[in-house]
Amino acid sequence: MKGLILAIVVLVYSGITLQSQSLKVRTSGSFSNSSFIDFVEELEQKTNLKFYFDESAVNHLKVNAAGTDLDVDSLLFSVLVVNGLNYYSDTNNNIIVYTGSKIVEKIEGVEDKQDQANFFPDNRTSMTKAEENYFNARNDVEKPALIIIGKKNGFHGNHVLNGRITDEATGEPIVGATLFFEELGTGVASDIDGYYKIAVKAGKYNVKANSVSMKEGMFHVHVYEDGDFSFYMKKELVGLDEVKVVADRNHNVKGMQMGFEKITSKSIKEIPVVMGEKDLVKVAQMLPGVQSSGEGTGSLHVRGGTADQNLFYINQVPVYNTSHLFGFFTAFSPDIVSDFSLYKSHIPAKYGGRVSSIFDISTRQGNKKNLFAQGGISPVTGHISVEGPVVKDKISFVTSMRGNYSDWLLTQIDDADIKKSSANFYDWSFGVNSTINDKNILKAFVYNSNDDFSLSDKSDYNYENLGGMINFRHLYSPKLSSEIALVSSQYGFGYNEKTNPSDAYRHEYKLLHNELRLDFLYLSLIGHRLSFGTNTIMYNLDRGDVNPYGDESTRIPVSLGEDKGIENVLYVCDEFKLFSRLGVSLGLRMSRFDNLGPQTLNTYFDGASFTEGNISGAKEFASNESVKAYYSLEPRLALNMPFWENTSVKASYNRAAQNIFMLSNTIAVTPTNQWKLADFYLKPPVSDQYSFGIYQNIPSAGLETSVEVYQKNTKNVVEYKDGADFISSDPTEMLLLQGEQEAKGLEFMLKKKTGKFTGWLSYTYSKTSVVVDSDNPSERINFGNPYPSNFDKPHSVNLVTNLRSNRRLSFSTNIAYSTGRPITFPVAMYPVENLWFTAYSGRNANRIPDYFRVDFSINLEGNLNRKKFMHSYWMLNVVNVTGRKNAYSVYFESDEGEIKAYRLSVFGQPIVTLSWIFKLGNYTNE
Amino acid sequence: MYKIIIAILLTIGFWGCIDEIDMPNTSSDQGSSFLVIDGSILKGDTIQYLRISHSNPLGNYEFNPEMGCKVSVKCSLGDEYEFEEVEPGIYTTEILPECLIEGTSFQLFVETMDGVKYQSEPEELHESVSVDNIYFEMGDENLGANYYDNGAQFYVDLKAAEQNSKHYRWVVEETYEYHARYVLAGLLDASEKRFIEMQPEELMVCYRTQNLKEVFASSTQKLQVNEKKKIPLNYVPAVTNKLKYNYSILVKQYVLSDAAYEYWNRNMLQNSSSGGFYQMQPSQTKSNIHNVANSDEIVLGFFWVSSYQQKRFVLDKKDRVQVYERICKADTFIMSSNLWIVVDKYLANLGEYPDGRTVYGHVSPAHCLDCREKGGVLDKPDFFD
Repeated sequence: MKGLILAIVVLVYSGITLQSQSLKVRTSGSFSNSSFIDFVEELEQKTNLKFYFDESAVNHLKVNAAGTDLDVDSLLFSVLVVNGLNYYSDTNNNIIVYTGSKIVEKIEGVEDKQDQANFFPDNRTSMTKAEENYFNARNDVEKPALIIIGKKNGFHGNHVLNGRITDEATGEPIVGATLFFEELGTGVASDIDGYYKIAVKAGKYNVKANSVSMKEGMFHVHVYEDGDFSFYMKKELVGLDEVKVVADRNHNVKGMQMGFEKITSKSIKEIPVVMGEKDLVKVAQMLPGVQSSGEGTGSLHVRGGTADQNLFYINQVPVYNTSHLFGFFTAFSPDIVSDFSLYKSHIPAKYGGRVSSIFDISTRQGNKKNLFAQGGISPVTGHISVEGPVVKDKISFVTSMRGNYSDWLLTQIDDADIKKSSANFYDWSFGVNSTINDKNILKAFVYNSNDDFSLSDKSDYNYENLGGMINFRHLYSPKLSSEIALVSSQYGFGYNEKTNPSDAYRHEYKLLHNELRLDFLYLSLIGHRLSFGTNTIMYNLDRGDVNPYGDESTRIPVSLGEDKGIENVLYVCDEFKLFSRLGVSLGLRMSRFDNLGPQTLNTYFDGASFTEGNISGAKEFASNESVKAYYSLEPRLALNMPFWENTSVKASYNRAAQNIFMLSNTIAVTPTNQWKLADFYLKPPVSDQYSFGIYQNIPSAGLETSVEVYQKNTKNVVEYKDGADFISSDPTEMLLLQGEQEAKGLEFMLKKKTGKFTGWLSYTYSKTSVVVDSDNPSERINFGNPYPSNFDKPHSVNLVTNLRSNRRLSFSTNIAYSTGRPITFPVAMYPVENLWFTAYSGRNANRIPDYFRVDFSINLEGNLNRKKFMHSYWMLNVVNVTGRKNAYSVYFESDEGEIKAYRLSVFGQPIVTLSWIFKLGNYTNE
Repeated sequence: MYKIIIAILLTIGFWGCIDEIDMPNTSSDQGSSFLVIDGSILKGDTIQYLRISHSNPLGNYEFNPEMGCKVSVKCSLGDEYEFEEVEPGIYTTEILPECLIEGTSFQLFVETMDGVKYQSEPEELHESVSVDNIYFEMGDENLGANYYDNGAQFYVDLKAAEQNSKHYRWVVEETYEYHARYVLAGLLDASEKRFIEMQPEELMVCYRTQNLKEVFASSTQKLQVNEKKKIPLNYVPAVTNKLKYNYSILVKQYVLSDAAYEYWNRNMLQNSSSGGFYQMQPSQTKSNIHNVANSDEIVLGFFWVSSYQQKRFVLDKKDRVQVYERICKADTFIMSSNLWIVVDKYLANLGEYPDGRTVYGHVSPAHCLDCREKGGVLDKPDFFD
């Protein structure tokens, strides 16, 4: 237990009653000029005492004593009190060492008794004198610093505070740390570079700073003028994996966001995972309103949307294929991901381009003080990341690498084709962060993921994401800052189909996304937080050529054509308060998308459907000539009405348009799915979403709850015609249909974020239906009647729990239940010659059986000695504990003329894996 | 493409599995409501068949005939042929050879007893193409002990001229020789309480011929030449022991129109899905027959017009494969008077104990002794030498 500092503030808040007790413990030993830490370590081994102290306060202490019957109390007195420290022992043999022997009666910087009472909300009159002494002494230790901004010339007007919050140990910016001004009841969160900005009235404030796994910082801030208030936060040295999300304790209720989830890498560390691979996307599937299309698939469906309606960013780089191994794993190495945010109702005006959700993934920024490495080994992959300073406190780097060695699994299968197959993937990333000075930051990041498979001599297949960005951030004044970023992302795949020698082909596809963004943030003195900016995206899609593969192939080469487009966006968003209580976020995003030439299009007879027979002619467009322009005006409004300290009601309206979508005729995303731009005939999907929610926190129990209802209508959703073939020479307008989707639902969330037992329970009710209707019967799906979308799962319940039994051992479980997804079953069978065929009727009229799965994991850490060179932990995962054969799919096959139904289950039995995770170097890094 | 994904899914989750499940009970009220019209005009056949029936709920293999329909086919050369109902729901006619020439199209007209009228799109007769190479490849033998995966995959090559159709369908008829497990000594006739002696091996060797219940269709539409190699036909697992003695397939190669190919190909894919998940949404295959008054009515089946050529492939002696024999149960008994009741339907071979008086026999299920019990005939086809 040595080297652990107790989070006193948390202790005080949790209301644990402490009682002083004289220490009657005796020990034996010989200490000659031993350090206090060594002394404590020995004492902890020999007795049942547990020590808590700030290491820096006792570093200089030496212990000299020898004997077989030493009185610990006298010993501590002689070592600590003599050196100006004090100690306290409670009934549970906990000994808390603190600085200063003086017992303060009054907290500096807090003006009157009322304020003092507010500052420590516990009812102190009920304490014993000893307790009061203790708390007062603790107050001294955690004494809030007094910060004076500006010259003391009285409190006048509004001022802007800005600053940067960094980690004391690593120098890394702290993302999402919150500053909460108690007297104002408002706060602000730090951004990806640790910066924050807030406008406040001149005055005296108690300010709390919180962040995940950081000690809470307390300040008395006197604001006289605009000014900079940057500070460090200290790590709260708790067990490696303790989930203690205090940072956003007030976000649930106070933040403007609805339908927003933020998940940190740390908080999911112990969640059971398949094959021991920590995976943010799989955790996202446990959140309300998020569905997967099946076990082992990487597709996410947010509020009934299709997989291509989600936009994934990793450090501003868009990622067009987020899965490894067809979705078994996510293409982001767990080592460098620090957290991700999911926006599913109110999407800030800054973001756009997808109609369902935005997943914004941030990576670690690199330790600015020490070299640090971490990694792990699981049955299928090995991964490592290294980070450290290039120039201490100024420039840091972070790099990660991950590769698989899963081929051994393939050889275990009794199937000749599979034995001759291979499956490989890897990903790496590299980032540099440079704090040039107080006003300028430069960052660069590169990301690459690669997959390669071959199935015997039948097909080969590879795909790759390659992306990078350079971001420069500048602070003009405390009120105004800007960020300029140049982003490039490339996605491509290659596929060889070799099953039939005459028909064999190779298809290569490539997408290039180049983006320039400029974002500003301005704080006005009258309480407006204004963000605005612009971005331009240039899309270059080469849908590729389908060429003969091998000597024998006589396949006709087909060029699927190129697609070029430019998207120009202007956005503005203002956050302010109306009537001093009602929080308003009002945003507008304006965009113009142009599909650009060169392009040759078919023209069709007026009002006729897009078929070969209705072609009336052709139309040519010159290079960079606008083929078609689409304007989109997207209002984004969010309201937050707090009622009591812990309750608020929020409402939002959100419109979003999407100019790029996926050509898919399958239910799950496959790696050969092509992206396609909106064009002359295919209109961009546009969604309108209304959400309403009630948020309630119960701080005494550490609980957060929320209930949200939503209605989302999307027009121009893309569906495909029966039998659409996306590698044929048919223009896409002949293959696709556009319809309308309606989604509505209720999402309930109960989260416990603090204490030994943490986790969440979510329930989602949802209904999503699609209509594709037209005057022309051949352009209807399901006869023009509404049908459930592929991901319509009305009821879904997820329970995620983590129980930390002590600092080294923890247990986690996931329990997931959902209604089976819709599926189209045959309704009848009929004889043709000597065969029986199946007849289908209503699309998605049936459902596969309900889904239920229980996963379990145990995490065991090694010794937590701070000075150890390497720290590691073992993770034992059991996925599908009950061994239930959940249907991944139900399908029908004719077997010698007889039609049979089959169920495919991916995890048909409990799967046990053991993985090992290590950290080298500075232990305080996470 | 889909197979690799399923393979990897099952491999990485090698805990995965595929189980046959009970047929889900889907809207059975709809199950029997669709009219099914299935028939063809085939050049080379003298009698043309058309079957009119109703669809069934899943799992019900009964033929629900639609009787008393007026059926006719109009040839584009002007003739009209009436069909006659020869069995409930089965209609036949004979079409004169002068009408069965390439380029002619045929249109089907059906009127049910209730007076509802249906008609097909006109279907054109295309020129047949001779069957090119038929061959097979043996499955991977490196599996060693795991001979279950061994088998013969048959292929056909297509070689057509540019002017020929690009779409084809193959119907495979297989004939194989098989043997009863035991030599038959005679029959026990319980009613007459006597033993009828047989010639040894009289019922030992049989030949069975059957049309395979699989759809094989392919197209050269995406190829530069109207030729295609290695089009997969049937797969014969060695474990069936069909490859142990004589084996032959007769391949009939039908030429198809665009619409007919679309129909057969879609059904081929939907009937042999491998996992379903990465597959396309299943959907109703389009018939070329519609209700004249109500085009929204779903009509199942297809009316197709084709000419064909055929070719026989006979397995070479050196390519015969024997795996293991299925065990046939055999019990010994001693002849006694009350035995007749027990062994009524059984066939037996006989022996004598050394005492010379007690007769014993082996009883075994009929199919172990009489090869005809498995559906074959004793006559050796002339393509087996």
